[in-house]
Amino acid sequence: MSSDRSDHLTDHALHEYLDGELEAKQRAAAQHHLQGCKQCGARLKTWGSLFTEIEQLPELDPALDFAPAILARLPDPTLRRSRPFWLMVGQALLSLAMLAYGWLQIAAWVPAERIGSWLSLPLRSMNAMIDTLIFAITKAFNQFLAWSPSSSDIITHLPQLPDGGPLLIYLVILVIALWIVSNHYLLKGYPHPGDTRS
Amino acid sequence: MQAYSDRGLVQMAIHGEQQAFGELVRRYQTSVFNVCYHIMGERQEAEDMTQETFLRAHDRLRTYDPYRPFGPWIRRVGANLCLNGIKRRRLATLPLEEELEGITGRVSERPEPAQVHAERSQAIRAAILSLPGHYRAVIELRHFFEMSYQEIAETLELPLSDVKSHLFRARKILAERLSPDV
Repeated sequence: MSSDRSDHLTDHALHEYLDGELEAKQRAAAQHHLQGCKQCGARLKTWGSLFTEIEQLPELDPALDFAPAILARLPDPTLRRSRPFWLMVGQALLSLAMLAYGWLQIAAWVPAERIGSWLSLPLRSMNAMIDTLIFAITKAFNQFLAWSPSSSDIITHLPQLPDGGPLLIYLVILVIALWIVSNHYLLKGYPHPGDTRS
Repeated sequence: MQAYSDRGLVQMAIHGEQQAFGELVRRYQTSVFNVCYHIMGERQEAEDMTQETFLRAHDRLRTYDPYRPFGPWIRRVGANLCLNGIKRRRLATLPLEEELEGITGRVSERPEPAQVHAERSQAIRAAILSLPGHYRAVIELRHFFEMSYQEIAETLELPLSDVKSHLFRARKILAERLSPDV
């Protein structure tokens, strides 16, 4: 498909012509030449036939169904959901709350001289505030359950809790229970990265 | 599942309906396999890449624009995967003796027209498969994906001049192998 004449279109030019890659001016010049040159016209036709044959190549039958193998390698659809943001934030906050409360309780039991008054005072103050808050919530909860304390009960009990020990145990158990529930039930359908169904 | 449109199947697959994705696989496995076969040049590799293509597509279904046809999208995923594989392999020419033997061994003395057509197709396929990987890639992208030279250059991360020369040489080789008188 080559020519000795220097004014003939090169094979490169014919390819670009067939591929629609020539600029308008070059394309017009090529068209003009092809109208008057049988040799280039024949070469163009030969290349065009080859291009058509390539593009019309019938598809090869893969002779197997890929679907079963592919479906077997897909992740379990129940593990497909991503872990929701609110759940991660909630767990993080719960963890921090547990940690802070436990630390404050422990700090409250430690004599002031052991950790220094500059640290003991704010710790004890925070501890008292948290205890008060828990006491208030407990009272409100009991009131909801039709137990009617006097309105002065909360103030009377500030800042000490008569049943601080059992309440702490109760809260720790409650938080642990919530933690287990959130991990083993709420997160049951959420995979760790790389989890796939075998 | 066969009654559903591609778009419907994609939506179902996104929501965890594996059988819907299975139907998509059955609809497009042949065309994806052919893309992979043209680029990889070897049946077993093409089969592996076909599977990888659908797994990759499943992972990225949410990025698929449902208002565009699914076929070109999944073929593009397959082509990109295979081209990456070829780039990693630095475009080595693959042994294809078995493909060529399969063609020459089946030629009869007085072939029927349909048989002639089939044999011609096999010859063209074999000629394409016998090309070096980087030539196969440009042929695939130009003739089966109808990409412009510039698009091929961007896809393969090659200079435009290399795309032109690869394409020209690849076609020249095909022409010589398919029509010795050229």
